[in-house]
Amino acid sequence: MHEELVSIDIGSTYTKGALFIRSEEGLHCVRRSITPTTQEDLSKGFGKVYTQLTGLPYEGEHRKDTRKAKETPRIRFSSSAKGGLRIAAVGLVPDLTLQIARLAAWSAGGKVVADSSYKLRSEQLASILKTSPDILLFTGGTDGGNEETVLWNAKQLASSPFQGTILYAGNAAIRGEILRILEGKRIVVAPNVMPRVGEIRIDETRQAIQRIFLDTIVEGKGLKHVQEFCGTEPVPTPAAVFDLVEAIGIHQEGWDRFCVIDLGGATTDVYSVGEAFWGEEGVVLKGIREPRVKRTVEGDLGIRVSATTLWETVQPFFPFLVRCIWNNSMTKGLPGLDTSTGTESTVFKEIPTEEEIHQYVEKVTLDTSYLPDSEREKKIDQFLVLSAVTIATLRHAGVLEETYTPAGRIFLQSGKDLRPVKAIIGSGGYLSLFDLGEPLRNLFHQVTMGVQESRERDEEGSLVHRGFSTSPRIHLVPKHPAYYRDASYIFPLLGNYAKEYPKEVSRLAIETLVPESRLELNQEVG
Amino acid sequence: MSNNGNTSKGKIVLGVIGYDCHSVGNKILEVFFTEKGFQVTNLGVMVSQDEFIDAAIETAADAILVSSLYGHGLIDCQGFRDRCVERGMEDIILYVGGNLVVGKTPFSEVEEKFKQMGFDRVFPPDVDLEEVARLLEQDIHARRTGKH
Repeated sequence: MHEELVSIDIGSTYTKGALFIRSEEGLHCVRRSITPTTQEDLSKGFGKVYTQLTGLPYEGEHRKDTRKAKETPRIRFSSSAKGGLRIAAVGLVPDLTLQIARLAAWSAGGKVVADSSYKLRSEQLASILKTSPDILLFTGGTDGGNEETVLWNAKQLASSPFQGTILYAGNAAIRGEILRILEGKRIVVAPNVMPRVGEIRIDETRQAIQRIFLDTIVEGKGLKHVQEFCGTEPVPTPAAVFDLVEAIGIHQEGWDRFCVIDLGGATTDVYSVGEAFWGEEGVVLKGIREPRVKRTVEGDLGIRVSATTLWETVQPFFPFLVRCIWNNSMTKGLPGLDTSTGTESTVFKEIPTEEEIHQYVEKVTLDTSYLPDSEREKKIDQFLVLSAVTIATLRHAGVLEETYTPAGRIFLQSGKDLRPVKAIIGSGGYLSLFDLGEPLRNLFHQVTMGVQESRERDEEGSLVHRGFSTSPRIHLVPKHPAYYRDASYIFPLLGNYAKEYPKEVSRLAIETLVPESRLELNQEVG
Repeated sequence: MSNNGNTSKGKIVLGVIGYDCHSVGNKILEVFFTEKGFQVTNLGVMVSQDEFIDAAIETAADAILVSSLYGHGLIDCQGFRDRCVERGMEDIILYVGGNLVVGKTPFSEVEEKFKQMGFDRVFPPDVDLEEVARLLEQDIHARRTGKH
C-alpha cells in the first residue's frame, strides 16, 4: 500500500497545502506549499499549490476522467470561508437550549454572531438580521415540550425578510407545523439538540451546518471549479481541526485531556478534549454537562483585525496582566518570552506602557498584515497574544462557586472543568512560533487563585484603580499544562483526512508537535 | 424517546430544592410517577428555583413537584410562585412535600404557610403517593380544560 494524499486549506490570507504518503508504516508529510490566497478566484491559488505539491497541472477537467483520476493523488480541501460561517442561535431558555445551540454552532466551525432566547420580538429579530447571519439555528423545547414559544418564533421568522438558511433543531413533535409555517423560506431540519432536559444531541446539527456551509460557500469565487476538479467537497477549516482534535483524543494514548488554541488576527478558537465534570467529592454540577469535545470561538479576541476589542477587554486588567506576564518570568530568570533569539534581551526588562499598546493597537488595526519591527513591538505583540489566549480560555472554561450548606461547604460547578488538562497545543501564526508555556501557566495560576486586580471607568471615562479582589469564583482553567506547538501549522491539513484515517492522522499530528523550550531553527514552511 | 404530551397523564418536573442532597426519595418519586403514566423530568438533588422553572419551560410541564427533606424548605421555596409568574408560567401547578420545616410545627400550619406562598398542594412526609397521583391527575385535567 502506497497512497498519495493531497490536502489543501484555503485560508483568508494564505492557501496552504501538504502532500502525504500513506503506507503500512503510517502517514508521512513529504512536501509543503504555501501561496497567498487569490481572493477574486480561489481556484488560482489552489491550482498553484496543487501543482507545487504534485508536479501535475491543475486543469478543470483533468480529474473528471476517472481513469486519469485513479492515477493522480486523492485530494481533500478545507476553506475558512471568510473567517467562518456566521450563525445566529435562537433558543428558549438561555442556560438550556440556547447554550446547546451555541455549542452546536461552534463545534460545526461557525461563529455565533447573534443570539436570542424566549420569544423573538421584532427588536431582537432586527438585531439578528443586522448581523447578516448565513444560518439561523432555531431551537427550543424538548421533544413533546414547549410549543407555544417555538411556534410563535417560527411565525416571526416566516414574516421576516431573513434570506439565509433556517436550521430547525427544536421540539421534534411540532416539526411538521414548523415546516408549514416556514414554507417558502430556505429551511433544513435536524433532530432536537435537547430531546430531554439536560440531554445534548448536537452531532446531526453539526453535520447539517456543514452541509449548509457547502451549499452557501461553494457558490462563487471559483470554489465550484475546485470542487469539480477534486471530486470532493470542502469542509470548514475549524471543522477539520475539530475532527482532528477529536481523533487525537480517541486514538492517541495519553492524549485524553488537552486543549488546542488557534489564535488569529480576527478570532481566537479554543478546542478542548476531556470530561466536563469529574464527579469530585463536594462538587455539584449545575446546568448542562458540556460535551467531551468542545470548541468555542471568540470573535472579539484577535491580534490584528480584532485588536481594538481585545484591548478594550483587557485594559482594565493591564497592571495585573503585566505583573503575570513579565514580572513572574523575570523573577524566575526566564528568557521566557523572547524566544526569537533564544537569549534574554535587555529591552525585555522594559515593560511597554498602556499608551504604547494603545498606539500599536491602532496601527495594526489599520494595517492588519503588520509585523512588529522592533523588540519593543514584539513585546507588545506578546502581550496581546497572551491576553487573548487567557481571556479565550477563561471564557471556554467553567467556574466553581463556593457555597455553605447545612451539610458543610460545597462547590457548585458550571461549565467545563479544564483543570486536569495535561497539555495545551498552540496552533496558528503566533502560537505556532513561540514557546508560551511558562507565561501561560503563570497567568492561569493567577486567575485560578481568583486574585484579580482590576480598574473601573469613572464618570469621566478614565480608568481608576479598584484594587485587588479575591473572587469567590474559581476559574477552571488548566492547572499544570505542558505547552506544545503545532510549529509547522499542519493541523488543518491533517484535519482534512481525520474522518477517513483518524489513527494515522492523529499520530502524525502528535509526532510533529514541538515540546517546550526546544528551538526550531529551520522551520519547514513554504 | 417519544414524548407525546396528550397521551400521557401530564408532564411533570421533579427535584429536591436548595442544598438538600437526599436522593433516595427523589428516585422513588421518579419511578412511581413514571409508572403511573406521567411524563417525568427528574432534575435530581440540589435544584434551584430557576432550574425547576427552566426545565418546566422547555418541557411545557403541567406541574412542578418540589421536595425538601432537610428542614429549610420554607426559605428555599420563598418566592417560587412569584418567580414562575415573572417567567411566564403563572398557571403552572406547584406541589411541595417532605420534611418542610424543622421542629414540631403542626402540619396544618405548615400547609397554610406554603399555600400562602402560592403552592397548590402541600404534603407531609408520610403521604400516600397513590393519593398524590390521583390529585395530580385531577389538577392537571382541570388546568388543561381551563378550570384550574
